[in-house]
Formats: sequence, structure tokens, C-alpha cells
Amino acid sequence: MKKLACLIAVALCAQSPIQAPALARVLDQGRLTSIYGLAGNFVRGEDGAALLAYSFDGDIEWRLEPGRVFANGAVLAVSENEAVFRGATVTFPRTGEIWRYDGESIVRADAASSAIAGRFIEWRDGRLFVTQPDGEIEGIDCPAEPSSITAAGASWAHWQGYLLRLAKGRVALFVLPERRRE
Amino acid sequence: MKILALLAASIPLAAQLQVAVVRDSGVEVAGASINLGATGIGESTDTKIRATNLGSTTINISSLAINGAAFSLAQPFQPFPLGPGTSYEFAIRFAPASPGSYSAVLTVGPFTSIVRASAVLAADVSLLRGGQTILLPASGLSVDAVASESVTINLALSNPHAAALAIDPLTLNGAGFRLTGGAPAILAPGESSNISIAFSAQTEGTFAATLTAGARRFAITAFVTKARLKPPRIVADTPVVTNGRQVKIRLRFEEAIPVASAGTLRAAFVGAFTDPAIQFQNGAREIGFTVAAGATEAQFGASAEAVLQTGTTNGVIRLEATTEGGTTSETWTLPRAPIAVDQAEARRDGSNLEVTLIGYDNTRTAGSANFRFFDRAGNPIGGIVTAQFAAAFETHFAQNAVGGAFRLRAVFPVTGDATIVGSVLVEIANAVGRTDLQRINFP
Repeated sequence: MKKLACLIAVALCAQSPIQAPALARVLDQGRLTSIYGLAGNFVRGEDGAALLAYSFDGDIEWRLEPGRVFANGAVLAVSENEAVFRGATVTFPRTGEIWRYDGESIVRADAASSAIAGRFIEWRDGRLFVTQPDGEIEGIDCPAEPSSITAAGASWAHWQGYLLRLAKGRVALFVLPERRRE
Repeated sequence: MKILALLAASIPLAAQLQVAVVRDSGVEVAGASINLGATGIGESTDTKIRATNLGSTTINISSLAINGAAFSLAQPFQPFPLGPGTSYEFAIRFAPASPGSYSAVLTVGPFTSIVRASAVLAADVSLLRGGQTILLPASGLSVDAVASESVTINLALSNPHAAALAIDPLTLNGAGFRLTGGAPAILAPGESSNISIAFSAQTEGTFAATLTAGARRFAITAFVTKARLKPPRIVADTPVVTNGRQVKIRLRFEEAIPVASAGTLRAAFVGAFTDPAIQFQNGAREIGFTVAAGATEAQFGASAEAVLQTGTTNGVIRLEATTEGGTTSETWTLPRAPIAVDQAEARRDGSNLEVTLIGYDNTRTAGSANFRFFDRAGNPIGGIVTAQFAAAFETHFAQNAVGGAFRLRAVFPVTGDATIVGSVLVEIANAVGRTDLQRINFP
């Protein structure tokens, strides 16, 4: 028997069907900042929480605050000022300790992930190479080697002054305009 | 007896006042006579005199004068007290009108001296410019120059007298000045000879030189100002600028810039709506640039490019590159256009189908969208579902300061098996036209 699918007209959501596109979340001068708009036409949101380190890859949001690190809702007490977030893992450079978010809590781990928003990013000879989850590699020009790359969204990576679009087939590097602080 | 007593009383004052002639070659204490040498007829020569109180008591200088034909004080005199150990400088001017020997009496308080000078025939100096010969005054010539740029001054030396005139030696003294052409040692009556003077200086300031041609001494002063950087050419990385992109801009100069300079690049936007996305990489609509000496391109901090977001609103962006030498501009018209969609996704959420579009409407007139669903074999399912979003778009554009950018999320409740739906076609329209998207597949 043939299955039927009967579409009803568009449902009105509780929230407005039209919103500002929220592209990414970045840590900018120590303040969590949402980036709205379109690729290459970024508009910064208001200054958010003051954090020591931050990463969001679409699934896991890592936050380092003085005395503790958060992964989604899970909390771990730490006395670290720096953290490197990769996928479900966090590495504290001062001690070399690696921890992992297992979906409920933050537990010790033996090895750190190297993925950023599910991709592997490598800089070589003035080019950035992004290896997609399916193994496809895309390269773009990037004269200066990025430092402190973090995930900024499901398809975005961030480092100082730049946002890197990671979407398959659309890898591109954009300048992230500075915040004008009076 | 009375006269002798007065003389005796004046001796101490005369002894404690020293008068000296200040020449380029050095300071020479003046005695009973001062020889100023030869001056060309029609010239005016100022000689600096310095009076110094060598004593321990103040001398009241109640008189300062030079009396004799063709002599005068360069500045007016007012009586003044000359304190112990202090000096006062003034200049005496010799401006003879005819040849011969001249003398005058110089009086400086208790000091007197005979000043002698002679007037000789001298060459006229004329400026050659634009085919014209302009006779220059005795006071000399002033020229304006720009730092690091060379100026050539073409002069004519001429003999207006009835007798032959020696213009030897012909010399030019002054930093930055160089004589590039010679002249004969003797000018016959009515004869002229052209000379060229090259001047250049690397820094701002006033530069002076003296041209000597026989008895004629001629002052040349160059006032050098900072090079005024001509405005650059604005070069974008794309021939056609549209909304929704980051344009890389370079500023190029026609030739290498002689001295380091700076300027400003501004982006002014005129449109029916404001758009905060239109900004340079510094987060503003104005960005400074520098130009290194010898460079032909501007630098924006460490980068040779300014990056400008063109926003998502139709209108006109006017770029202005301003240097102290002027402004160049470039105007980019961003025309009204159909809705542009940057990202389109379809997904299932339980029994709902969800379609998300991220894009921009640079007219902010978006209204309706049509959705047509297909099964996995590509056969249409039902008819076209039309959704009216005009009010929602209007509210969004009014409330969110993101230009014309939007994220549209349409949810379709499904009765029956939603998994047979394989793809959706979307049309979305604004006042300019309709945008047909490529088929979006449900994962």
C-alpha cells in the first residue's frame, strides 16, 4: 500500500519565521559575541559574557571561565586560564591534561581530537586546507598562518580578525570586521 | 678745560662698548673705520653690526645713526639701555644709485666710526619663465618648492651699462642650490647670458643662497613645504560591485611617493535604509592608510588591501580616498535585485518538514514564497504551497539591524509518512522579481 504524505499549509511557529541569521559565535577581546548576517557581510551582536576561552561547533559549546569549564550543561572545576577545544575534547596547555565531554559530563581522556567543527584544518605554504568529514579536501589562499583557531559554528571557524567558512564546496575566508568600541 | 673734562668722562663708556661687524666669514671688531666693500649699483646690501657692553654698568644707547649718502639703518631706532654683558644687533644698509666711493659716519651711543663702501656697475638679474623675462628686484628672488622635488630656476644676467661688465667670479653658495650653467666672464654692453640653478631639499624649511656674479650679489630664498600627496586611484578586486560580498580595495599612486604620507578612505552609503554591515575591516566606514616613501600603494595597517563589506541593501556606495593633495572618488551603484539566497536547507523534524533559507532582500519588499514538494522518485506531491511572509519580513527588517539579511524557517506539518518526501522546490519573490532555487533535497 502506497504511503501517503499530506502536506498542510505552512505552520506558523511560536517564534517568527523570519529572523536575523545567526552565523557564528566568537570570543572577541574576551567577550562572547554573536555574529549575524551573511558570509562576508557580518554584523556583530552585543557584547556577551566575559570568558577565558570559547568554542562552539554546532553540537558542543565549550566555555572556560575562571575556576571552571563548561561543555553544554556539564561543569568541571579547573584552575586554568587557557584551553584548546577540539570536538568533544579540551586540552589545558599548562598541564597537558585532556578531558572529554561524553554527552553528560566532562571526563578524563587519553587523546585529544584535532577536529574543528568536524573538519581538519591545516595551513601549508600560504594555503589553508580543509578536510571535510567525507575526506574531501578544499584549499584556499591564506598568506598568514592562523593561530588559535576555534570552532565558531557548525560551519565556521574563527581566529583573530577572520571567519573561515567550512561548508563543503563553499570553503572561503572572510575578514571579520573589528568591533568599534567607543 | 671744560671740554677735556667732558672727553675724559666719556672715555670709560666708549671703552666698555664694543662694536663689531658680523660677516659670513666671522666677527670683526670695528675700529675707526669700517669697509663694506663693493656693492652693485641698484643693489641694497645690509651689513650686520653688533654692539656689546663689555663693562659692568648699563650703557644707555640714546643715539644710533648712520649719516651719509646711500647709507641708512635697516630698521628704525629707539633708545634703549644696554645691560652689562649684553649685545644688540642692527643692520646698516648701503643702496647706491650710481658708481663711486661712498662714506658715512656710524654712531652707536658713545662709539663712532667712518663707514666706507664703493658702488660698481653690476649685472641685472632677470627670471626667465614661460617665455618671459622678468627683471628681478635687488631684494632677491623667492621660490616655493616641495620637499624631495627638484626646482630649476632659469635666470638671465645682463649688462644694461655702456661699459663692459665683469661677472666673474660666478658662484652660488647655499645648501640645496646648484649652479648648472656657466656664463662668460665679461658681458659686453647690452649682452645677456643665461644661467640655470637647480634646487632640491629633502625636508621642509627655508633655504637661502647667494648668487655672486662679479660685483653683483643676489639673494635667492626657497621656501620648501611638505610634498602634497596626490590622491590615489581606487582599485577594487572586481569590476562589478554587488551587495553581499567583501570587496578588496587597493589604493595605487601614479608614481612612487617621495616622502612617507597618509590619508583616509571613506565609504558613504546612500540608500532607502541603513545597513550596519557596510563597513571596513576596522568596523567603521572610514579607514586610515599610510604610504611609505618610495611606495606606489597604500597600506592599511599591515595589509595592502582595505576590505569593505557591501552590505545587503540597495543604494549607492561612494568611496573617497583623501590625501592632503586632494580626493578621488569611486561610486558603486548597488541596484535593486531579486532575493539572493546564500544557504538553503531542508530537513525532517518528526512529522514536520522544515525548510530554511538564509539570504538577503536588498529591497526589503519580500512577500510570498512557493514550495513544491517531490517524492524520492521526483514526482510532485500535491500542489504548490504558498506562504505569505510579508508581515513577518516587515517586522524582521524593522526590528533587526542586519540590513536586508534574513533567515526564513518554514515548517510544514505532515500527515502520513513524511519520509517519502525527497525534495522541495522553492520560489521566493520580492518587488523586483522571483528567485527560483535549485531543488533542495531532504537528507
